[in-house]
Amino acid sequence: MKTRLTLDGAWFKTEYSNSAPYYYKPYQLVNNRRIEKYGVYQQESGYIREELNTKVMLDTYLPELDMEFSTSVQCAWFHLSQNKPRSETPEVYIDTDGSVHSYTEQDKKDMILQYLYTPHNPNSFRKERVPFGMSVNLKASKNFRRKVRVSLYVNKLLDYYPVYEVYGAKIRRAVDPYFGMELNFTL
Amino acid sequence: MTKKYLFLFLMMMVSIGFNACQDDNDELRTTILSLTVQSPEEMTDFTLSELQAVFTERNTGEKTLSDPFTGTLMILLPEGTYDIAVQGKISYWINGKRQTGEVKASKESNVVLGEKAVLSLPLMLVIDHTDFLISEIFFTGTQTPEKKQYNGDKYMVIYNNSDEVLYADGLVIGQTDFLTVTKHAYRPDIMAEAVGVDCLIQIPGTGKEYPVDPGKYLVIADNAIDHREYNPQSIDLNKADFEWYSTSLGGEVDNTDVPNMFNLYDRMVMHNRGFKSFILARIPVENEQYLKDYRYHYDYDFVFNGITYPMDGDCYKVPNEWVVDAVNLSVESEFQWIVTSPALDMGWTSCGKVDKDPQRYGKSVRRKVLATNPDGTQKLQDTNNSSVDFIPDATPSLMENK
Repeated sequence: MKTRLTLDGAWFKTEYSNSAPYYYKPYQLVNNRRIEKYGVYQQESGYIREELNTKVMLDTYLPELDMEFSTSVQCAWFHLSQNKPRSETPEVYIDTDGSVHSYTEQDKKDMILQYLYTPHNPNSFRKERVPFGMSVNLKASKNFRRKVRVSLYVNKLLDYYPVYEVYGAKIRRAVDPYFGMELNFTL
Repeated sequence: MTKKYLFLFLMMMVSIGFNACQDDNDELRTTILSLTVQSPEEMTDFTLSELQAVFTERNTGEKTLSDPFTGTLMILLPEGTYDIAVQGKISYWINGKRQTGEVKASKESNVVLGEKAVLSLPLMLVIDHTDFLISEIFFTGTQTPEKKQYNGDKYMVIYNNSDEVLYADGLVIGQTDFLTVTKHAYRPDIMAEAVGVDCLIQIPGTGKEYPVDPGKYLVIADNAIDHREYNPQSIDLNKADFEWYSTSLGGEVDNTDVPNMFNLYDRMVMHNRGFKSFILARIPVENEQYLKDYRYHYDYDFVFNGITYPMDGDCYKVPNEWVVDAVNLSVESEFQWIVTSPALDMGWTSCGKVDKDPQRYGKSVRRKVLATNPDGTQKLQDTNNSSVDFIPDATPSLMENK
């Protein structure tokens, strides 16, 4: 059996954070006037992304037919994502005259300054984990006098994507097979 | 007329004469009066009960109380000139639900003479605990002859459905923050106690500046200009009572002859597909106090194709007890829920049948007339169910008068 076995994979982990302060000015009209104050927040954005993928490839060559069959098994072991909590309370705010004031607890009860306090849905910062999923791809190629190469392939012909639950929501993953053809000429 | 009065005068003298030399055999001349009450216009399915008439003789001041009656009363009265007041209860049916109210009739200086007399009084419908009502919302705007959307000509009508002069000072109009076409589990859920609004515009005034007589109304317009100059298919809003105006919206013209609404919270931008509902309310606390204490921050999880998107939002809440009237709007093909407590409004009304229906332009929702009283004023129907109280896809009142 003239079969080549290839194994590859990748693990990524990205952590992003922003050290520059974020400026926010509320857009609403309050008491018939615009709000002319800017809140200054630290660490307004940031996230973590992590995933592990592997691929096993089996390439079989049949010299009497000048054909290649390749099977690949792709596994997505997990995918993790989480947004870092954003600051809801500004450290300071800038008034219309350009003066800078620190933002206190008392300001959350002020008619105007309360708009600078921006609570978020706590679910926005929870860890989202997508569990294991696998699919199998098939490809058959035939060479004609080393000039023309015809390939037929079916991606995701077989798959295993189990149902999983995220915070009470059941998630069913549907995978659609993909049929294709390639024709290559060598001049 | 002079003869009649002379005759009356003589009759009175005779009557006094009788009184003066009253003795055991004295004969008091009496009349059998047949009094009929006419039911209010437009009303068909109703029952009257506990009707009672009070006859006050104008010269003696003597009061005669009738027995309870329905329809026609036969009563024996001493001849004279009477002020008649009738009062009673009415129950009527709207959409299978029994409503109750009061009816009244009165007429001064009725001459009751001879053996028999016949009188007829038209009844007036009095609805208990009535106040201002939203009688019309024109939220769709119009289309230009080139079939382009034309905004700025939207308006709302506020109607005095009570029997007394009401002051519109300080009334607020709010548009709901939630849509009637998308239902989410909002946290915290305040709908049983309050309405979340994305804007609040307020009628100015210190308390007694804007009186509205019973059966009269106020037109509150987006831009109080003659829109026909820009779109021949639009309307003249020059004579609106108020306009909602914001300097921060470009291109708006401020008609200085028409007072501006006070933008208590944000700007009124009516949802022109009718996905949001409207309330009319009175804020019993100072504006500053309200703005400080009644913000409503909510969050919810938006689930789409198995993926959950955590969302949040901010608006203001208006406690249900402060709400004078509420009207839910939606469209048939998209409706999911009403966005007020059913105690405020248990139904909804609409313009157009599907989302983005081009048929909706130039149409409004208008409250049905329950009864037209003898003085010409109309009582509008208010059963806290916009599905039955309103006429959907109606011709806007200001287009009728064009």
